[in-house]
Amino acid sequence: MTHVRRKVLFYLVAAWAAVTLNFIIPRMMPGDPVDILLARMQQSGGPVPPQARSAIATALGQGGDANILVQYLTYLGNLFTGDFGVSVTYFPTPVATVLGQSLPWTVVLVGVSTIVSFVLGVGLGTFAGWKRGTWLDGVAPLTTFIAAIPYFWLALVLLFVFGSVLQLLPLSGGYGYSTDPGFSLEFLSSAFRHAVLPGVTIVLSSVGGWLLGMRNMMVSTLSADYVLTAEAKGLRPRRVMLAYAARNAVLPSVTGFAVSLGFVVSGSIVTEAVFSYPGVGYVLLQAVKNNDYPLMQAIFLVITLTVLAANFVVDMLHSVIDPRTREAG
Amino acid sequence: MRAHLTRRTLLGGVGAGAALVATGCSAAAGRGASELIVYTGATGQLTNNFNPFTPTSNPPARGIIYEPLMFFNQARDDEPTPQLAESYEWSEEGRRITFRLRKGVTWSDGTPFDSADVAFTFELIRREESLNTYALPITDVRAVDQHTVSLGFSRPVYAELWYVAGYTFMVPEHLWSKVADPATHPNTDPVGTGAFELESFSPQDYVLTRNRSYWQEGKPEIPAMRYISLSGNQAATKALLAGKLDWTTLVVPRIDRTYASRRETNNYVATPLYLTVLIANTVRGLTSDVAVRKALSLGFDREQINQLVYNGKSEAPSPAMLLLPRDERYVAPELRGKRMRMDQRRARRILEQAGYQRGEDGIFVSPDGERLSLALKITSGYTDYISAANVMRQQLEKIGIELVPREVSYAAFTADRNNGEFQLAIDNLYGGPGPYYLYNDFYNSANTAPIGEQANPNYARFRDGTVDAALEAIGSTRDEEVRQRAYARLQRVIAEQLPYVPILQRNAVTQYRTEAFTGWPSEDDQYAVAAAQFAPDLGIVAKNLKVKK
Amino acid sequence: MTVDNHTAEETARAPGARPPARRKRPVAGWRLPRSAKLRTGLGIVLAIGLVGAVGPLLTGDPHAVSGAVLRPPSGAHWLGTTETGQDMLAQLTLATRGSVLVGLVVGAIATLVSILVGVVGGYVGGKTDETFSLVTNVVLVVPSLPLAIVIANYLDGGGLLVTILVIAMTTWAAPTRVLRAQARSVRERDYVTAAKASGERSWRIVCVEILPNLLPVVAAQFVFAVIFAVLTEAGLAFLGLAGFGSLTWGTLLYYAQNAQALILGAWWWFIPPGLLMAVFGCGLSLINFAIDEIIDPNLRSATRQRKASR
Repeated sequence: MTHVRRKVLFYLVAAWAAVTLNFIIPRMMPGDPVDILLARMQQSGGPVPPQARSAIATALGQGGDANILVQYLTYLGNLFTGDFGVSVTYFPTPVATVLGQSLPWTVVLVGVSTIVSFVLGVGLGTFAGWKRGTWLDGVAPLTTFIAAIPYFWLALVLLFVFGSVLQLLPLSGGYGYSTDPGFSLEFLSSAFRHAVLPGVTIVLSSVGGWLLGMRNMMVSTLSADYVLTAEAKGLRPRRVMLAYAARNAVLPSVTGFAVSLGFVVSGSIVTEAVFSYPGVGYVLLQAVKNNDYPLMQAIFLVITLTVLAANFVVDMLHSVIDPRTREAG
Repeated sequence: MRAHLTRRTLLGGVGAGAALVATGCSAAAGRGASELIVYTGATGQLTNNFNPFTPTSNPPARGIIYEPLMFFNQARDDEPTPQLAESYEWSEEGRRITFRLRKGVTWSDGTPFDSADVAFTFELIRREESLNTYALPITDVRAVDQHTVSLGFSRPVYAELWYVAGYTFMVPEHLWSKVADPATHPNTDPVGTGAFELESFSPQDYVLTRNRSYWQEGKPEIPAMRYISLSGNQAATKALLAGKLDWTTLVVPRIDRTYASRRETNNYVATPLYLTVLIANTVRGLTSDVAVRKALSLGFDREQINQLVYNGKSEAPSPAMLLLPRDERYVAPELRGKRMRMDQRRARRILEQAGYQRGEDGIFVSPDGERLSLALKITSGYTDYISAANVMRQQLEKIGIELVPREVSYAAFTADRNNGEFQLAIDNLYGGPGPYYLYNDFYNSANTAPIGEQANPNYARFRDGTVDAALEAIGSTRDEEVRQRAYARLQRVIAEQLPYVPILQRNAVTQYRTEAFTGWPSEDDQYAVAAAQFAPDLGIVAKNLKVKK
Repeated sequence: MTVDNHTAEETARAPGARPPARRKRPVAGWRLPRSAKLRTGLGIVLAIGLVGAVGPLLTGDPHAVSGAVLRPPSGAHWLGTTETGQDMLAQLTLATRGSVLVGLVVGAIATLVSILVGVVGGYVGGKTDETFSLVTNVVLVVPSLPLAIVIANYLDGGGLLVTILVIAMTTWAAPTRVLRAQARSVRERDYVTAAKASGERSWRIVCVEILPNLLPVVAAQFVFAVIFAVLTEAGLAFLGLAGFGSLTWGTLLYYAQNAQALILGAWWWFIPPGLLMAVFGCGLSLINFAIDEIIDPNLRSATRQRKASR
């Protein structure tokens, strides 16, 4: 068990380092949310006399300039209570509320898309590697071609074709205007219809990566001695393919998959932006554009912790799949 | 078991986020012709915030649900029109205003509206610094009787009537007196005096329905409005062209070809609203030389920018920095009828007379041997500015001025602009109902600061005694004669000094569809600014719309 | 790189357990002979590189505006014009230069770093590995988007350089994880143990025994780093968060999107950048296919003889 304990300690240190970076980055960013709010007021007809600046700053709670150490300790304290303060973009909504509204959308959409993409990609990659040089292997370049298409461009084209020209699927948003968020059939089907295009975009643009990685690993694994031995023993090809070759070839893909699960929260910003999907990526974009430090910090934190957790899982998985790595090193 | 631990962590990682969703209330039935669809530029998840004191509230909170005492029209040279107040009166040399309130107004929950509510609202502002956005110097608030309120100030506030009467929204005492922190109160269940009430809210759209007991006879006529969120300009334009939006203010490319000529019922109206300018740094670098600023202004073709970048829907600006035709009567006699024009010969002559000489590469060199190369800061992603800068760069090259466009992020742009870390910057100047606001904000030396400190908002860091004195005079009198003369003095200086080089007088172009609803502001009858997100005008427009028979 | 050397070794190590290669009948579509794959891939990448390198010298000022607005492709403007009458061809060549530069530089940086940090760390293990892993994990979780803005602001709109820096900083960590996992797996293999026992130096073992075995992975990682970099840049630019003032495929798409080229039907504005990006990525993948065939002679286009599995 010492192995696990050491890993946990290690990840705690990594988490602390990342959390501290999250604290520093927003404070290094230029500009001030007050300017953005003033500009917004101006465009919506409000008077913005010189006096307005200090009033808005006060309303945003910028009055007290606590020193940086105090801010840092407060920040660390807030991490544990989940109190991230009030968002500027969505003022006066608390950050936790904004996150709570957007997180599920992203987790479901991107999570499901990532899993589908991984299973598809690894499955096809296994075959392509096994059937090296046959027509099946020809699928690989095709998927890489699709993967190389900029996905937001793909999204725009898909939108144009399915949303505008054929009018089969909704153009934007997470669910229909006349439906009620909740666990009703109507809402779920509406949400599903809205998720199709962004989901397809994510799958199409990422499946090639899994496929190619898996195929390449398959290809090099197939020449390994133990596979040749297994074949020589006259085992059924399917068994050789799955139990011997694929099992070992899938390692890097599993690593990649776990890592990409960590990026579920942050990996779809552009897609969400194109489809106006009500998820975290879109909110992060708004936060960045509005210098919304509290919201940014909270989102970074969520991203940070999911990525770290994913990597932690990878390490643990490795101990299971490939016991040789476990020997304390 | 290690494997077991692993699986749990995985599930925990995903499961943590899956605790579900803030529910909105039920939205009304699907769209009928009885519903006006509005897009105000809101993208992503809408915030359920109808607190008129917050700058981030949903637009209808200011003007449709809550109302001010008077309406100040920024689209036309109108007198303020009565809303919740029927009239007002100045006394004590501009240090006291007495409002006579409209009778028979009720809050949407049926409670009568009276002077106690108005007094409560202003008292709230007097007490809470964060609510007093315009730093109104209120000394006392008195409800004289049920329909009269008197406000005292520590100095004359002639010039600030707009803030007091036109942009302070009355909230009901019986509800807001229980609110713990009015500055951050989301007010999700708003009760106002306005023409519409909030019917339902979801993160994607909200619906307002007609207030049947509204104080103005026969208004509003339209039954309901739905405000929707879209992913941005492109999605909005698509929705507009597909006939899914009735009222919005978008930048539509080639508007006549793509939109207006498509359907009889597709219309738009242009409202002069602000000036797009080059802010010159008047205290540092070559732009501190007035000759350079003049040459700059004469050196490029505004009409080409207008045609290429703005669909031809903007206008050459007045050297007096006013919005025309609205402010026609304030223009100094010698500037009347003048608009900024290109004159490259004169631009070159001005530079030569100031001692500049052409260098080897055709770019002028200052008497001190400095190349006339000016960096222009632009917010990255403001493509119209980037295009405009390209036009200017090409033309200024011909007269020996090198313009170097530099894109920086919006955050960096505002920081640099405020602190004076720029040579030239491209930005918009907004004013208010009448010319005083823009002049006072951007030319008054009280609103500037040394380089490295925040100018607020006199970014050009322009200081001039004549201008300051004129602004002082305008702010402390109601005598039209005196004010006109002061305006003329001020305009002479700023037209000569050009701390802000105007590029174009810009119009907000608002699209509206007359399929089901009519009665919109038009170029002949700008009874309010038509822009969909423009408060409180949106309330004036909404209640004046008619259902097409 | 000692490819030939390694190839010989590999062949030597495989004890002739393989039947002679049998030439396959070509199947329609992608079935190209190996060298043709490489030639095609290299051809595509080099051609696009050449467009980026030489193109801007041959075309006019890409920023110059004119009255000929939104013209479809014609003799005067081979790729049409933008809504301010700028020549699309001139813009596209300059954008190609920008994007290819970003892709290749970032790919190179990311691959080098991932080999250094991932493979070395994975092989050496111990404290070095722990430290490397820590750094990797921290980098993995730093959100790149705002980082881009921060850095760009410090360098006062430094254009492509900033974009390259930012993307490189956030690209190397993922392949590093993959390579490290691989290296840790490989270092337990018999031939590595044997090499260790015979007293080989660590760096030799890494270079001669481990790296060659990881080459297919490294190659795949490089290809993906390049594609990823091009796409990331495009994504950031498309959101208006990168490419401050420099043209890339991403900024072209951003401008097209901003001018609503889709609605105006100006296909010549938004199709070419996206297509070029896809073709470029495709060329890289072809190279990748070819590389692993060179690395591993057992894996040439011949199928391995076995009973067909359904």
